[in-house]
Amino acid sequence: VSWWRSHSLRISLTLWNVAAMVLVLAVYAGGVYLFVSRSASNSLDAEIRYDYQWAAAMADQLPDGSLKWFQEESNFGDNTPWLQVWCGDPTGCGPRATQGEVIFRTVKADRDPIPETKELVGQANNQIVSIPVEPTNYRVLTTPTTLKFFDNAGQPVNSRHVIIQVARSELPMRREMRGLLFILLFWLPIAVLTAGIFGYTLARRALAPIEKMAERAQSISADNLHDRLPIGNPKDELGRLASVFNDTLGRLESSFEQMRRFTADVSHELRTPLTAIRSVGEVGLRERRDDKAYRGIIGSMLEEVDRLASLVDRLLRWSRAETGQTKLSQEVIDLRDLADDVVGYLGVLAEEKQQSLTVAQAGTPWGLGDRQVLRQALIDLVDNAIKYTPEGGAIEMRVSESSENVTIDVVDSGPGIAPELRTRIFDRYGRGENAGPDAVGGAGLGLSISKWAVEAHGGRLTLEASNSVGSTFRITLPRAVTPAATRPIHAA
Amino acid sequence: VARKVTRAGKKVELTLREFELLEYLLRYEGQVVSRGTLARDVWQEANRSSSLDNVIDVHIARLRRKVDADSPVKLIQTVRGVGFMLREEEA
Repeated sequence: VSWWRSHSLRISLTLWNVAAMVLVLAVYAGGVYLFVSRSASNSLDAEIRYDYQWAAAMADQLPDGSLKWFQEESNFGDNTPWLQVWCGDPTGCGPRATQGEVIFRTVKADRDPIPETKELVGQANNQIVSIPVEPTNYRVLTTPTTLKFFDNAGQPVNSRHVIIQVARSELPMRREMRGLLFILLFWLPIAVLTAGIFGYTLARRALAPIEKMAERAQSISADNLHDRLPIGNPKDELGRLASVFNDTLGRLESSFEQMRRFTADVSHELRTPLTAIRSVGEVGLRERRDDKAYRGIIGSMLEEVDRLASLVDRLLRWSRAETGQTKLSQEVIDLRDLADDVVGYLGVLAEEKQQSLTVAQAGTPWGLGDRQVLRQALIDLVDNAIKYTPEGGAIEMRVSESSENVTIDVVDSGPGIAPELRTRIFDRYGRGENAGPDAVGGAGLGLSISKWAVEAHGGRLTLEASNSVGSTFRITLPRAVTPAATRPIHAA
Repeated sequence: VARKVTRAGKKVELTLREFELLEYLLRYEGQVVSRGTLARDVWQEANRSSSLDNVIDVHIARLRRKVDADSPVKLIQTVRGVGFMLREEEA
């Protein structure tokens, strides 16, 4: 088995092909040989019986009563038949022959005597018997018969019991069969060899694209994921295989790209607090200060460390969720309840800016998802909305249902997101720049992580609308058919 | 459960959350309580986030306004970079 496995598909295809060919040809050749040899043997028997009828018809009686065949035997040449006639008449056959004697024998029978024929006469039964005579067998037909003789007027004269023996050598038949066998055995290997070469070439030609694909696939690494496999004929099996591979490569490339961008964002985010810590430390060391000033400096360094730590915490949680170490649950969530929970949690931040933070509901929006994850995503969205909405503005969460989905919109009355930033807000972190860098704070990765989180368990997070009077972010979840279980009570 | 807070005989009106916050600080009087501890013990949030830090800061600010605004002795101290502490201190 291991030998078989160690060979390429090309070789095994060829071997199968050849094996099938050998089997078919062997059966075919065997069949042909059997059929031809049987029919040759039958026709030999038929010839012998014809010889007998001929011999019986050729008998002639001389005036003295003796029997005679073939007056002009020499005319037959080599084709002279093997014929032997015995007298079977108790009254004898003519003046010189008595019962049990040979009356007549052709030259050929003289030349190739068959000793066993005398025995056969004793049990003459119209059967053809094969008798070995060097160099091959003779088939002998021994038939008792009564020869009737008539005069010129057609009146019966007398009749004689004789035993006619005719024989033919099997040699011509055997020779023919040997010729046939030779042809079959000679051409069979040639046919198999031809089929093998043809099959190998065909297999190689058919599998060449696979080899090419393998070569190309081997050369594709993380650095050139944009490379694709060649597609010969997109409709055949190999073409389909190649395009499936290409789809996979495409997905790999986009997730690699996403990962790369995410890593770049994270590095950027981590860099900011680190730079701050460093510069605060440097400023602190520049001159001698009093105790209180040092405490202040250390405090602000610790604040940055805190920010860094919470960022790292969050990333760690997400990488765990991403790699499947944290299982996301699929529970039924009452979005109204979730929105109220978030209002209770972040309400104070809105109050500080004299903003209204309200919830509007349409239908019974029960969705499926992981409550923890969704809550964090919603908190991030509302937190952002509070940051970007000016003092005294309004923020509304609208929960609603459709036939298949439930949605929760976070509508702010901020400055909107610049059109060129809209496509990038989720992947590359751009804070709304027209808000000014000092207007807001907080970890910048919020939106991209939230999007990732929501989509990790079958939801969508999209920017629905954004203009000068505000932006609308929407979380879409698959709709749940069963009602939300017990509502946990969340204190404000 | 009835809750009542007075300072120097004057009644202080607190929300539930503010009360819980004050109670927690009183329980650990003289010790620095970090934002992480408050998030875990008062807000019962498993994960800290920047928005939660803001929420805590707002609550501390409000509590300070209600408790310390009218008094020359301040009770609620901010220890920069670490957290908060309840201790009597002259302004």
